[in-house]
Amino acid sequence: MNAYIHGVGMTEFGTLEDRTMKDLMLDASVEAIKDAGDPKIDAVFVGNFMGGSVYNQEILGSIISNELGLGYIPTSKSEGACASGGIAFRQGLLGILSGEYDTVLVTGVEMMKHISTSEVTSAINAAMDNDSNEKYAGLTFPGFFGVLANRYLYETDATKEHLAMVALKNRNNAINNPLAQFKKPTSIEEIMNARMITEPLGLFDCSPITDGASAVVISKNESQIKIRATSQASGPTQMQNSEELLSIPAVHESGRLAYEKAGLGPNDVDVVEIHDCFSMTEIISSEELGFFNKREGYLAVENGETMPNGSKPINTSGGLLSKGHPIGATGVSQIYQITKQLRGNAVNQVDGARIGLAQNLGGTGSYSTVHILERV
Amino acid sequence: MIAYQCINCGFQSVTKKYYCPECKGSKYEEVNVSDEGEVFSYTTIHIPPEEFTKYAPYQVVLVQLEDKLRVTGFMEVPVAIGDKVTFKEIREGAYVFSK
Repeated sequence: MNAYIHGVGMTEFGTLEDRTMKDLMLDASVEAIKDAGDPKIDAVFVGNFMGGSVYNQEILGSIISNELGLGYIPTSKSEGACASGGIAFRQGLLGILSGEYDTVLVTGVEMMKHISTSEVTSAINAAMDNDSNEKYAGLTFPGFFGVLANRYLYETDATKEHLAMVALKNRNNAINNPLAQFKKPTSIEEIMNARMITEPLGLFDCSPITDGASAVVISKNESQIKIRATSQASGPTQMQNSEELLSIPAVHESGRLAYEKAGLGPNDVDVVEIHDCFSMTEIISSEELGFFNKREGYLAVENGETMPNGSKPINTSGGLLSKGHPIGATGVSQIYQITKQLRGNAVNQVDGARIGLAQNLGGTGSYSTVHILERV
Repeated sequence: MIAYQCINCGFQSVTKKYYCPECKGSKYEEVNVSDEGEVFSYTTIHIPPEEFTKYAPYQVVLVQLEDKLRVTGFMEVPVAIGDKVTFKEIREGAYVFSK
């Protein structure tokens, strides 16, 4: 059995003070359903991380089915920290591949800007193993990637400027994306001189706090966008248990599985969305997915290979760093961007893109999903 | 410093585990491991969780002990990769190191 993408939708990402979680997810869902030609939807899968803890709202799937008049169809929510959206997409896809459903709606949503930064920090820390000495050492979510980055800079010839180049590239991509959170031009100097969050990562090296939603309609019926592979893997939940600090095993394993299922390799991929929760993460994951040799991802950035006109364009949407990171929506919005790329009408369109890959990370490497899409 | 060692295969962990990831054994014993190690990597945290505001900026260090273990710890003083550090105490659940 095969599955295909029929419709995509996405709200603006950013500070959306006058919107509610409900109307954001409904907006994205309606756009995706209309884009798909208004098919009968057999089930709804929602990706969301902190709707319960900071917005006091659950039963998101049921709200969608009721508000959109989809009938008494089954709905559910997936939680996998920042991979909640990718996991929801995968669950919807598995529902089709099992033969249970013909057509499903997958919607990712998050509201984060209505609370303070410290409240968000606490809520995001739920994505770490909090019954551990790491939490009591004061390790934060960004802190984990700071520790990784310092070691990467130590073991390679990479410098903080390479991290800044990732942030600048993604900002330049976001400038062309009307739905992105940050569209103001910046410079290497501004990025390098920004205030520190967790050394060596400064403000521009870290993905922002964002409101937003995105949705996708998948079906067993044919369309021009075929889903070639879905995969998911787990990894260490504590830094001290990682066998090799400069690796994210969940990313590597989900990539390996997806390539195997698709019968493709990294060289076949024309356009990529990588989960750049931090500038460092984009570089390490680009290595884990086999696009560049281990410890050489920074050279690809330096050489412009990951720019939209480069040999391996990464995060043409602006990525989490500049498009924004409404946690539950992120994985779904990656599918939105890859679908647009394969349809040929994306922002920062890559000429002739035929194979696209989306990788969504949860926690400090606890979850990763990879999806490979093909224009047929 | 106390660590947990799999009785079957000798795998060590800072934290207790239900199953040994190496041999799936489920019996662990407490062992003494070296208090000495060096900084494998670290970060200086400027934006802390609420309860760590009084310490910021502070260091979270990943220490490679002289034995095979790596442990995540807390340090108040600035450090660099390769610095020799010593385990001092467990304070409110945190492994505290000093230079």
